[in-house]
Amino acid sequence: MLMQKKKTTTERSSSRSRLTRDVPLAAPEAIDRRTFLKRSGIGIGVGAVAGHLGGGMMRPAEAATDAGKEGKVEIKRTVCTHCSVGCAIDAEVVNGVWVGQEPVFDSPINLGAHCAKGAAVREHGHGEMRLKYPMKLVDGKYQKISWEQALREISEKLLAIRKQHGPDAVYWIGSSKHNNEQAYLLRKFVSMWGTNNCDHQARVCHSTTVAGVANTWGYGAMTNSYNDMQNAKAIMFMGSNAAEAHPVAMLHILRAKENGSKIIVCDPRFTRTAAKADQYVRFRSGTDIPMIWGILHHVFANGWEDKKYINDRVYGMDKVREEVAKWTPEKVKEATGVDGEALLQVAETMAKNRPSTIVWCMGQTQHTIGNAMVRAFCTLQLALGNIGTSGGGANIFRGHDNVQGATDVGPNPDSLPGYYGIAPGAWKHWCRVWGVDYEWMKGRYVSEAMMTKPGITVSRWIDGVLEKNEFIDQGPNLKAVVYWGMAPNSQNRGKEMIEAMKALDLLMVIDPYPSATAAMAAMVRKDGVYLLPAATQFETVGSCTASNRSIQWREKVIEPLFESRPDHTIMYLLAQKFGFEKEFTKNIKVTNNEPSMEDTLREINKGTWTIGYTGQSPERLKLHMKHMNTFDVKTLKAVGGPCDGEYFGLPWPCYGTPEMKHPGTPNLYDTSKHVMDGGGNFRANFGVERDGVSLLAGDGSASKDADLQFGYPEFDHVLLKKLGWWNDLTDDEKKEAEGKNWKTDLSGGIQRVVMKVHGCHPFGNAKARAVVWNFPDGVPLHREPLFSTRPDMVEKYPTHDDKKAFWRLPTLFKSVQQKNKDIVKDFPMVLTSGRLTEYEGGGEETRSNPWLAELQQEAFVEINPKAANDRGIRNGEDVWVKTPTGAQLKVKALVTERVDAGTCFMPFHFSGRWMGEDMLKYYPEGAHPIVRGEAVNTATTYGYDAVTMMQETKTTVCQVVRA
Amino acid sequence: MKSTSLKIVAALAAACLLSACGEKVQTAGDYRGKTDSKAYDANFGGDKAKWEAATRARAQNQNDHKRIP
Amino acid sequence: MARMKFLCDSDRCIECNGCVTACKNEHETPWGISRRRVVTLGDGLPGEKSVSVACMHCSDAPCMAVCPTDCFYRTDEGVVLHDKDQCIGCGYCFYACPFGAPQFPQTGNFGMRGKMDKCTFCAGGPEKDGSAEEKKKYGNNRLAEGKLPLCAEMCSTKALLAGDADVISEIFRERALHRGKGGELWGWKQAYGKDGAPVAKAVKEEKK
Repeated sequence: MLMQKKKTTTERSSSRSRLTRDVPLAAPEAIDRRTFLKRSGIGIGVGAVAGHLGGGMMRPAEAATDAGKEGKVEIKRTVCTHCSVGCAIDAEVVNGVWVGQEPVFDSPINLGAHCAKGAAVREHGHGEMRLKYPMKLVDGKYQKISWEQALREISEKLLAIRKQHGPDAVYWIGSSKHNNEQAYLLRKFVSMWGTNNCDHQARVCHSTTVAGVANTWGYGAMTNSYNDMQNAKAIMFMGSNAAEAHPVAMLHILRAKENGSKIIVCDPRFTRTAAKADQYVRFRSGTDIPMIWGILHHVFANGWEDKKYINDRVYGMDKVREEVAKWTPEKVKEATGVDGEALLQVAETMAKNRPSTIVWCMGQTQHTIGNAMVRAFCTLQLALGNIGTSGGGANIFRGHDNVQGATDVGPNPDSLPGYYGIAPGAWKHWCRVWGVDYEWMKGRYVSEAMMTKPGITVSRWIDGVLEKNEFIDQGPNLKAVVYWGMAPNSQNRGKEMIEAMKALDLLMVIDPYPSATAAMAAMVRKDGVYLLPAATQFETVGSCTASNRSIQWREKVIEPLFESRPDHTIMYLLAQKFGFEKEFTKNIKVTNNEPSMEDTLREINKGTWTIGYTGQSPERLKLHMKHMNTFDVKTLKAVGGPCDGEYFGLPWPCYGTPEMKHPGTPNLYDTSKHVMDGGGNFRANFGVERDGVSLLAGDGSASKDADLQFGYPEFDHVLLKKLGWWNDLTDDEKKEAEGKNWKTDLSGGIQRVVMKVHGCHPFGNAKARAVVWNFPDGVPLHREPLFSTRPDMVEKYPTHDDKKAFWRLPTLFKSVQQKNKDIVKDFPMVLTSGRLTEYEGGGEETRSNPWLAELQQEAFVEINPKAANDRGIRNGEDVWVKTPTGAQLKVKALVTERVDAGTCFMPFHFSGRWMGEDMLKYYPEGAHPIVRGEAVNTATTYGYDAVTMMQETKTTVCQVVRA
Repeated sequence: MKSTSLKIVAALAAACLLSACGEKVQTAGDYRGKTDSKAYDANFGGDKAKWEAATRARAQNQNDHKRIP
Repeated sequence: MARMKFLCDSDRCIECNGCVTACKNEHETPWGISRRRVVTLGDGLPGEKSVSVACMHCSDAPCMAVCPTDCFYRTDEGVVLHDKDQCIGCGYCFYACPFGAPQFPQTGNFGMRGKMDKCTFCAGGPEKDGSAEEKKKYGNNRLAEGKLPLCAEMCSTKALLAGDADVISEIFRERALHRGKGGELWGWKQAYGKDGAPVAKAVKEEKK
């Protein structure tokens, strides 16, 4: 077994019993938000402890330990599941009980460091608030049922719905917390069910980033790494609060600062990250494009742009110049509220301290124009020549531990694994990999038309239920929804979600925790809800992809707690009921209903050529986990040892077969390196010419030592033959590669010859696109949010026109904006949301962890002292936050200058309270989060991105009144 | 040159600040509880030097400058 | 002779509370008992600073001086510990301590105080090292395993350092040198004013 060591230093007692668990003395004086709120919420905490944490807490752990059994300590190496940094963890296990957690100092990513969540993951081994067995809603109460009964009843109902309404009547919401193998299997599972109606957290998290960035230069991912930020000479955060959302990233960022790097934070809110910055710029929420164009205005005015880089590697910068010219400092100030001087300073810092990097998160992505905002960022970095260079890049921090991996190979409504899309060619490729007949697969769907039509997005499933049938672009409305590891409170329009839940025939929750879904459903339904307990990632094995594209392998720490089962086992059991389990696991060994994760990864390796998920065999990943100490922290490259020359976690793209030994790609598009050393260039994915202008890279611009030192298109069998490289293939490779391209040649021969023999890039060598002509605004344009506090700006910068059939649904823009043009009269404040360090995502899992819950016991709204005083609100008082949806949220007022007088901020991790009411009674008994609070998304308004259907949650409006 | 001497002064400053921990026993009364064993007894066979070396080495895990020059 | 100390680099501390939950994790202290916490000054304002605080293991410990039952002792390494069997839960040490380190569980329905609990520098107490008894009363004894307090070992930005004062001050010194900033710790200016310290002055002179 990998990483298993015998403990030698001591016989650490395995009896981790607790000290007396009881009520505390009041905390000593302090003046920060936590202490204050903690005190205000102390009654709640104590209640929770007294009522639910005593007695039966940690049953499984104590059963083994209280008996005083001492045994050998086994060390299992795993990875934290609470954000995308990828912090390694050594778990100490005695007799199957997780008794201790030790830092992994060897990890080049976290060097042993953890934030509050990472330092508390062992509590998952207790799981006292977990969903413990399958349950069914009977007469408004959750009752325990057996697995057998649950699977039988669920499958009968689903099959009946399929028969009556067709496969598109069921909506499958997957998880960004599934490991790669599970996420991949779920896409396969849903395909075999016969629908594209599946999605996961990435839709409402970074979908605009993925689409915007991929369309600009090739791949939809963070270009560099947390580690590489140590090489940056300037770092700009905009819409990212790394200190709270990605705390361990700050280890690298503060190191950079200590080495002289300049830190800039632009944000409507003075964040904890801003507290560590050299320059902080506050701007009006939703005006990111005017901000970036305002910065670029100064770059162009001073000639700071990288002219050679733009000439060789960027298409359409002249069009951007025209738009940027309009954004004079006066206009920028009008829109953003920021002085020209401040942005000149930002521009100068970024231009004169190159390589400079830029970081964004959901502050950018969750807007109706999110796709354009992220492209404005890309354009700024392209103008400065910062992409494809160590220390530069677009460092897009993702949220969940495997949201990158689930995006890459998981349940997306518009693509099969690896961004192959859903055109017939893509289906044929994957059918070949899965070993199933294309015609059989087609037969699972209603028609080829439905098979190749993008499904409904998770942000809109409620409209798939509620919208009039004649307006939706598929046969039936949605009749059943499966929440498989996703929080409902991460989607906007919660008030309407309740209505959708009410209207369903069947709702199924598969999750380690009952999640807010169970409680919301029980609030409005009497029956038709099933809960299945899933195992956590500490109770199974598999790989996960960190934000920087490094892939790490998790060992199983403990057996699944209570009656929970791993997600892939549940998939297999359902597949059995649906009658396609043989097709589902054709290449995968199944033991006790559990598909092998190693075999699944090998199948991913076999098919995912587009983004280089082919080289990361389970064996190579495990070797990396074992020899973490050999990797350099700044470059992520192994120096000597068994992984010599490889980059940690074989960050994708890791092209070719595992045998080709590609080292992974630490920084994307880096021409200073050979392709076999992780080098690259921009992708040729958009043709070779546009309006008579070449889209291929300029002469002399290519990855190091490539045989072709100029722009070239992507490789297929024809190009290989034209270049006379065909005979570099072996005979076996030739047989497979005939008629194929670099993405569909399952032998990997084309990639091998192109890369290893000729040093070229299989996806071609092109220019990045500053103009993405296939998007609504090719050059990013500022458009006001649908709900804006500035009618004058709405007038000047109106939103898009309404869309009729967009991801199968009518989608409103202008009509909503016009109707709410003067909304400021009733709702004068901007409402925005964000992350806290103690909690993750929808928060049910982390709010069920007492070590974390104790630190943040109340939901709150941050409000400026002026706004508070104008409303007669004092710090710590209960207030109602009201929005145009008619929803109102009862939370504590946190009066602070973090926000300006026109802005309110709420954390988005809370749920379990509904417009003033505690939902405790709606949870299954003994399986509720310790801390419950109002979900901000109960009250957020309508609004979706014009490309990806990302929801608008970062700029909406509210009013706050005393409760 | 300037920055080197600056660094030396800064170093001295840090050293001065942290070296002022001279101590003598200052309890009001004598300890009346149970006697504790030495930290190096249970797992280091009473070898104080070995225990000290172990903790000093362990402390270097907190030194990012050691792993990242 | 080793002299165990904590040191918190406020330029690095981001108030993530990793140290707090690491402590909870290692010792399974009950809800409401905070052996360690992070204090933020100027919350939400420019200049916001955070620092992680627990028992400082004072050389001349006020708790030890005032304890009516003399339940405190200091180990050879300078770790201040106490014997819970001797403690009467009077709370005098809580008033004496400048850092709010002593914590008290409530053991009955009438607000009665239980035995005092505080940071042990992960060194347990006067029970057999590594025994179930020691763990129950004081938590894990990492020091006896040759390890250091988990709060510091897991600190997200390596702001919190723990170990032999000589070693961690050397780590901090190296860091301060690298930053090119003076070696003053958090609280120095508050204590001595901007130009209060001769050394800080010398640094300033040098900069000119």
